[in-house]
Amino acid sequence: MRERICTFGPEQSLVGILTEPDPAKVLPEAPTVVLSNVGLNHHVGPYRLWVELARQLAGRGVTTLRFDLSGLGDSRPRREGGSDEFQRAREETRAALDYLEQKKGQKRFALIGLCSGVDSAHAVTVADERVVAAAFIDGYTYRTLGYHLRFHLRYLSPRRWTRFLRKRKLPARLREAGEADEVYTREYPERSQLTQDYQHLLERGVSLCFVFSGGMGLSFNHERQFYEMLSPLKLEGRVTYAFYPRADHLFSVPEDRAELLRKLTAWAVGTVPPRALTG
Amino acid sequence: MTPCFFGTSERQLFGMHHPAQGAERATGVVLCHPAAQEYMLTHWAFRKLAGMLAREGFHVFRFDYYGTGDSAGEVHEGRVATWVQDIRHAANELQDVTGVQRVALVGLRLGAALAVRAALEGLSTAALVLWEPLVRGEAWLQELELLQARRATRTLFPQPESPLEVREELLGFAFPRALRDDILALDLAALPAWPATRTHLVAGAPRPEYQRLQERLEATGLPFQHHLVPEEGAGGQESALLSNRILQTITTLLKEAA
Repeated sequence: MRERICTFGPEQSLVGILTEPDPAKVLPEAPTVVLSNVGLNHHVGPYRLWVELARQLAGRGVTTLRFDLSGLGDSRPRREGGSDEFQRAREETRAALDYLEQKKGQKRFALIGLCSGVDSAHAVTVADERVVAAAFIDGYTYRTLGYHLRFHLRYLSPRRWTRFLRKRKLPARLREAGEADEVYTREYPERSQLTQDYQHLLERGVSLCFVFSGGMGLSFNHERQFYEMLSPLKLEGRVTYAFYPRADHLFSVPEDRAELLRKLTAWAVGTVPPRALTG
Repeated sequence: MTPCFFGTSERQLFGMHHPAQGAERATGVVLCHPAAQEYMLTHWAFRKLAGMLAREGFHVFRFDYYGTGDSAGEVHEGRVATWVQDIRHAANELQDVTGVQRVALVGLRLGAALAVRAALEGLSTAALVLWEPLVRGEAWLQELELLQARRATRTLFPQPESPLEVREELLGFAFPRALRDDILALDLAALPAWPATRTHLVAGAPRPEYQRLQERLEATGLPFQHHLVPEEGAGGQESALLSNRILQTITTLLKEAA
């Protein structure tokens, strides 16, 4: 494995780390994986998730670029480019693909996004045919009838009551800390638009991977919900999908993270066309 | 900002040089990150501090210890002695690249304790700035355990039942026994010697262990100053994220020392 620093993009303001497998291990035709920020975390990823993923993928013959969008992590803010962060994120993700194509001759890419990072990954996947695979972790969710029924059933959960009673016994200082739940605000596309986008991507042959954690509990609470919310597409068996209800949003428990890494690595390696593996 | 890898090819470390702007000073600054989740929380504050110092004419270098950030190695391979050595490599790298004659160290939390160790073990320093330093390793580990307990109260996710020492993790980061033992052995106020350089302790709020360190250093007769920089809204491990006055104070102190 070899890691190199690269700078690229508009105003050469973007900083990334390219992780490449040993030449003898390179998986022919494997898409190059591109990762960027999760919230305010820099390109290392929450709990060093992106570093570990890049190094595991290199061990399986896949190249990865992890980089910071302008103004985040180690990338400078751009002087020009407007104030629309979403627009800039899309431009800069495409700039990463351009860089890899021009400098490394890569033509096939896989984008992986987590939480708000899904927004630009999704938009670029739809718009750019060089993207042949995309993984969305805790991406777009829509409440379904099943969700609402399960939401009310949660009052029957012994685990929830145990937690409530345990919390009541805690010192006030800790109780207060427990009240401050984090809030993330994102703009979701209309469900009909998203369904159309996925339909288009499947027709294009894009390999899709969806992962949801228990951290999405306010909008996603059952394994079947993913298929329910996109039911017209009949996605069963057509995409890679995993729901980890015991994992929190950033997969902060090392065991949960290890499971996520296994899933993403297996999916990324599986996106290689069969002819490349047999050749 | 100029990113680089330095060190050996098997153990390459990631560094970021912030070149001096305007008239260059003869003293450079190496920033020593804290560890584990505190590293993640403070990355932005370090970048901001590096920019502020560079605008004052300092060449600044920040870097990731072995097994952290973009540097080689895995999280569970982290050891105090290795990280102290990494600070020395970082100081050498800054001097090689820029030609600065002397280097000041700024360390936050565990990074402060590592900076003191690096200076004690032969790294010649122009000044030491200890920002909310970890004085006693045991107290720091207890603090992390308290935060872990707090996290458990605010989540519905089932918590592992085995004790933290068995799981060898804290707040999502591997904390193997060897590293834990290294940290338990840290006690700045009980060090038999102290680096012969000016030391500044900068903190947002008073703490008993800072007082203990101050008394110990005053007894040695070495130059030492304790700066209390209260900052509204800051406190605990989030303080660096919200800090501004502390960053300004550190910049001013280094300007005066250079």
